[in-house]
Amino acid sequence: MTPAQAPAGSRLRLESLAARGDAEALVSRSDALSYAALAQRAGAVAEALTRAGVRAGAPVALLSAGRGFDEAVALAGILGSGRVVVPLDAGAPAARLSTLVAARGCRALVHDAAAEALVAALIAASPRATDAVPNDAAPSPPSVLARVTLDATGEVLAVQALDATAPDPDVPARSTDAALSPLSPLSPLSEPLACILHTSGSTGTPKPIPITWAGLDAFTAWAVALTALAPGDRVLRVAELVFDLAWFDHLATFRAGATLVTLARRDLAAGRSLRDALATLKPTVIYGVPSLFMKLVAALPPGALLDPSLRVILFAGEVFPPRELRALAERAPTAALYNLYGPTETNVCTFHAVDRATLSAEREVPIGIPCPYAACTLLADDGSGRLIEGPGTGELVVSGPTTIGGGPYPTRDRVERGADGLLYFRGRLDRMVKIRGYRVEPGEVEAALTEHPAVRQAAVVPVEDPRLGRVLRGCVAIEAPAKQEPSATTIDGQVLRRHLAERLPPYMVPERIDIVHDLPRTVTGKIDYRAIAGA
Amino acid sequence: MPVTPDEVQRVLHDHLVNEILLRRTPLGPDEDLFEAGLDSMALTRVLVFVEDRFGIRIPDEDVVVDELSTLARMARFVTAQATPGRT
Repeated sequence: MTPAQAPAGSRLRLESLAARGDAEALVSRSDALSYAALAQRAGAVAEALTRAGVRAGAPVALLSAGRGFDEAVALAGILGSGRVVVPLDAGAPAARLSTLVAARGCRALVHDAAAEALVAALIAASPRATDAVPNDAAPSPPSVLARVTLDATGEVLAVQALDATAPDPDVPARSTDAALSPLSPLSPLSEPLACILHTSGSTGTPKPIPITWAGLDAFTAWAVALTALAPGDRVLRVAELVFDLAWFDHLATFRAGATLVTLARRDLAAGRSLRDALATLKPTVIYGVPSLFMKLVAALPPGALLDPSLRVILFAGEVFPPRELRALAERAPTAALYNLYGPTETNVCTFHAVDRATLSAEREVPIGIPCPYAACTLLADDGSGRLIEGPGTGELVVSGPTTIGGGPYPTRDRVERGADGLLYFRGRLDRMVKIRGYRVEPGEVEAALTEHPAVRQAAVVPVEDPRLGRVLRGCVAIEAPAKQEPSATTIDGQVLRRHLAERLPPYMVPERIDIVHDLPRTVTGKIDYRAIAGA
Repeated sequence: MPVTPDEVQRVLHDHLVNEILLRRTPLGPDEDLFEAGLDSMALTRVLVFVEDRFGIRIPDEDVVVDELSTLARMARFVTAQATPGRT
C-alpha cells in the first residue's frame, strides 16, 4: 500500500479507542483502565494542550519517569490530537533533554508528576541548550514550554500555558520543516509524522529520525497479523519509548484492541523482579532485547517454566546467542519465538520465525526474510554498485513505507544471504556498536569527551566483559600539564566519566577511561582501536 | 572478612556516587536509588562490584529489587550476604 492510500484508520484516533468501550486498555499490578477511560483521559490531555496554546501538528515532548498509565495516556492524547510525539529518555541528563527539546522546536511537554525534578533541571538547563544550537530559526527555549502534568493514572494534574509573549516558531507537522534541521539534516519527506525518535549520532549530536504514520501503519498491520494479536492478549510494556520497540507495545496493542500491561522500570531491573512481575501480570506477548530475556532465564529456578499464557516472544536490537535462545525456548515450551531486525531508520524490515526443531543444531539465529512491506537488497561492498542476487554478503539497503524518506536507506550493516535464502547479520561497516540493544556511535562519545578542556583526543571502543557483557572503554590523550590552566584539577577516569554522565545517557558512558599522553597508533599512523580494546 | 553494616554502607555510598550514578552530591541513606537513576545495567554493575569487594557470590535468584532500592537497604542486604553462616 502506498502512503497516499493509507486508510483513515492508520492514525491513532481517540474515537476508535473510545469505541472499544469497557475492554481493558491498560492494566498494572494494582490498577486497570478501560479503552473508554483511556480515550477520555487522552482527550483531557489533548484539550489541555489546546488550552495551553499548542497547535495541532506541533511537536510535543513526552517524559514519563514513573511509567504508570500516564505514559500511554499522554501518548494517545498527543497522537490522537494530530500532534507529534518527541519522547524523552528519563535516564538521560537534563542538559541533553533540553537540547533535544529546543532542537525539535517543541512548544510543550507532557510529563508525569514523578518527573518534576528532571523537568525543573531541564528548564534550568535551557539557556545553555539554546547556546549550543547555532540556528536561530527553529529552537524554542524550554523556558517558554507549555507543560501538562499528569498523575500516575494519567489524570491531568496541572496545565501551564505557553507564555503568550513568546514568539511562535511556527513549526509545521511535516518533516520537511526546519524543526529537524538544526541537529542533522534529513532528506525531505512529505508524510505526516507520528513521532521523532533520536539515536546516537556519529558526528557528536543525537540523530533525529522522523517516524511517519504510513510507516507505523504498515508495521503494526504486519505485526498484529504475525502475532495474531487480538482482544484478550496482554502485551508487556517493556522498552523505553525513545526506542522503536516500544511503539509495537503501544500502537500494535491499541490497533488490535489488546491490553497493555504496564510495569515500573524497577521491575525490569533484575531477573527476579521481572520473573515475579510476569507471574502476577501473565502477559501473552513480550517484545524485548535478548539481554532482558537472558536476565529473566537466569533468575528462574532450575526446571521452572514461564507461565504458559506467554504465547509470543519477540526479540530485536542485538544478536541472541543461540545457547541462550535455546535456554529461553526450553523455559517457554509453547511460545512462538521471532527474531525481528531493523535499525530505527527502517523499523523492522526482516524477521525470522525460530524453528524449535532445528534450534538445537543452529549455530546462529538468522535475521530471516524481508517483511512484506520492505524491499531489501544487498549491495556488493567492493564499491562496484552491483546488487547481490543469490547467496553472498553485502550492505543491506532497505526501501519501503517504514524506511526514512521511503528509502533506499543503506543500513551500514553487512548481511549475508545464505544458501538457505535466509539473511544473516555479519557486523557493521562502520564503528556503531550495540550496548544492551542501544545504538552507540563511539564518535558521539568521543566528541563529548573532547568537549572537556583537558582532553586533546579521545577514542572509544567496545570490549567484552565476562559479567557485564559488551561495555565501552575510553582512552583519552590529555594536554601536557604546562598547557593546562594552573587551576586545572587532576584529570582521571572518574572526572571524565562524570563529565560524560552530565551530557550523555548512561549506556553511552564508558565503564573505564584510560588517560594517556598519546593515543596508541598503528604503523600507518591511524588510531589503534584494537590496542585500546586489548589494553 | 567480617564487615560492619556501617562500613558496607560507606563503601557502597562511595561506589554509587563516584562510579555508578556519577553524582556531584552525596546520596541519602533512604533516597530511592531508582529515582536517582539506577537502572538494570547499573544494578548489575553494583552487584559485580559487591561480589569482588566483599568476596561473595550473589546468585541472580537472590536479587530482590525492593531490598536494593535505597542505600540503607542495599547495605543491609550486602551485610547479610557477606555474613558467614547466613541461611
